[in-house]
Amino acid sequence: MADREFDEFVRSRSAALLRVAYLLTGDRHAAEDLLQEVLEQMYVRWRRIRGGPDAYARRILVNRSINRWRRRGRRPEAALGDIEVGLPDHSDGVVVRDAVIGALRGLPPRQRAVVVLRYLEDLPVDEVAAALDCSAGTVKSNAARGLDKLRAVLGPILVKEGD
Amino acid sequence: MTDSDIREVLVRATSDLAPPADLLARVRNGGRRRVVRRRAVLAAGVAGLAAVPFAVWRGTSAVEPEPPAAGDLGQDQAFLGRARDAWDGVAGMFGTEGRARVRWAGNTPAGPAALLSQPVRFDGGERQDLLGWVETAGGELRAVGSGQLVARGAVEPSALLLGRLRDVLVVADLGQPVELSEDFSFDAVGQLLRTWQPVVSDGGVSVRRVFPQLGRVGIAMRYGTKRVEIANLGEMQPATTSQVPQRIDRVLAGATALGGWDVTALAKYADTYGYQLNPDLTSWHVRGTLPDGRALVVQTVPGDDGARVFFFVGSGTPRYAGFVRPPGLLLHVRLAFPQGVVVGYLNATFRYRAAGGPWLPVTGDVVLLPAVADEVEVTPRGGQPFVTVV
Repeated sequence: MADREFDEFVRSRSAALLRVAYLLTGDRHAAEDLLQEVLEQMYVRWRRIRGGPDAYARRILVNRSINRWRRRGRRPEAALGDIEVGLPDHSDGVVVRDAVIGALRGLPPRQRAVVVLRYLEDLPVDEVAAALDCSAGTVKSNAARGLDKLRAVLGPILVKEGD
Repeated sequence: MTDSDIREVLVRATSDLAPPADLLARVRNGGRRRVVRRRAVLAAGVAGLAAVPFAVWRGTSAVEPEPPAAGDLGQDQAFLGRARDAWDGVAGMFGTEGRARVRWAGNTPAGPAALLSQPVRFDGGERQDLLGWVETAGGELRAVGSGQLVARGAVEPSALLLGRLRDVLVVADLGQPVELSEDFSFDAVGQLLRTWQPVVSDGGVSVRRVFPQLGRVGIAMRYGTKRVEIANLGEMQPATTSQVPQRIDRVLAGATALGGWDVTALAKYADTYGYQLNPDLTSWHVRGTLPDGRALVVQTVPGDDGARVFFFVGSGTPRYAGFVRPPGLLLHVRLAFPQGVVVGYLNATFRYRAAGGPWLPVTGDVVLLPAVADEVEVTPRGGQPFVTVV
């Protein structure tokens, strides 16, 4: 029974979690690795996860993405073009993605996580706070600061694109 | 750009992403391996059988008869059948092939137990052996944990802690020179102290009494440079998952020079062959700079019954600040005068005072207070304030 529930969770939620992981890491391959790590950890603890697997997954996804960032230190991250090989086209989708990833990389990890959970996952403030183990006020202030920075970076690019 | 615009671009940036088609298979395979590492559910063969090439036995497709099981119940066909029945209930989730082989079956002070192995084939065609134990619980046989996957033909020493008090230790040594340490302590500088003795087995398996290992596992076992895993350690772990981060990293306000020292990287301080029941214990890693410009690192090394507290000042030589029980969220280290006092509490706010004077607020959930501070008021997030002497 538990195995079937776990399989169903992976099938139904892995796409959404991969999108979160991608925006947190800025790297498709790192996102897949991160997601697999998280799901493996959940597989081991499946019977003991309390409070809903979604919340648990988000929490360890965010923690691990922040820890990855810490392990990297402040070394400059590889340029997106170096990572996303085989993407020579510059279609609208690629332009948007590059712009978003670049803008998110400019945010501190926790601010990035707040923005992604709040606006990609559309989570209420209290659930974001639970995922980041911080107060609702911290979520709100991080979201506001993060959005300001995203607007400053993305605004000109996306307006130009839409012109 | 409105909030909706932001939401829309985030969705657009990720709209073409889809998980790999084999994600579930990869997760399940990886998860099984994690079960091995984390829950340490493993097994092995016994010395008397080690001469039998393990890879020869391939369940029901074997061309040779199954080698006999060792142990005082090794010829008890009724027991062997019941052991296989108990094993099959758990081993089935691994995609096992053929029939399990009982490698050892015997009586212990906590009831009969058995050690089994069975080939497993993974989705990609990879084959491994699943090794595990069956124990007596509530008068009935049941499989322990989920088993360990090892390369075909590989065997490793393994152990089991049985009994209501977890005071019966069963060790399958496979003829390897397994050593046992019955408990540990720390010396005056926080280094680990253990005394080792060889495990003497009868037919490859040793059964002995040890101190109760409930709540805290003091024993350690090793063969060569490897730890002997306790097969049912995972079942002894807490049933709940901590909501507190396993590692709390903080940089003190005003830090200029930061040190990267870590006491857990120093072999004399590590319990390489010991066991920890709670895998989610929280540790502190605080970095900062003293007023004299030297880098400061404060960290805790948690164990099941308490945490060692260390700090580094200007060099990679750790200084031991003592042992705190239980390993909690409160961090408190008084440095040599007049360097000050480091106090931390996850997501709390602080005020401090000296000699009964006025309370003074400070910012952050980890702070370096002046050496004259002697009381701290801690207000946990969503909790009631309390005062502690520092």
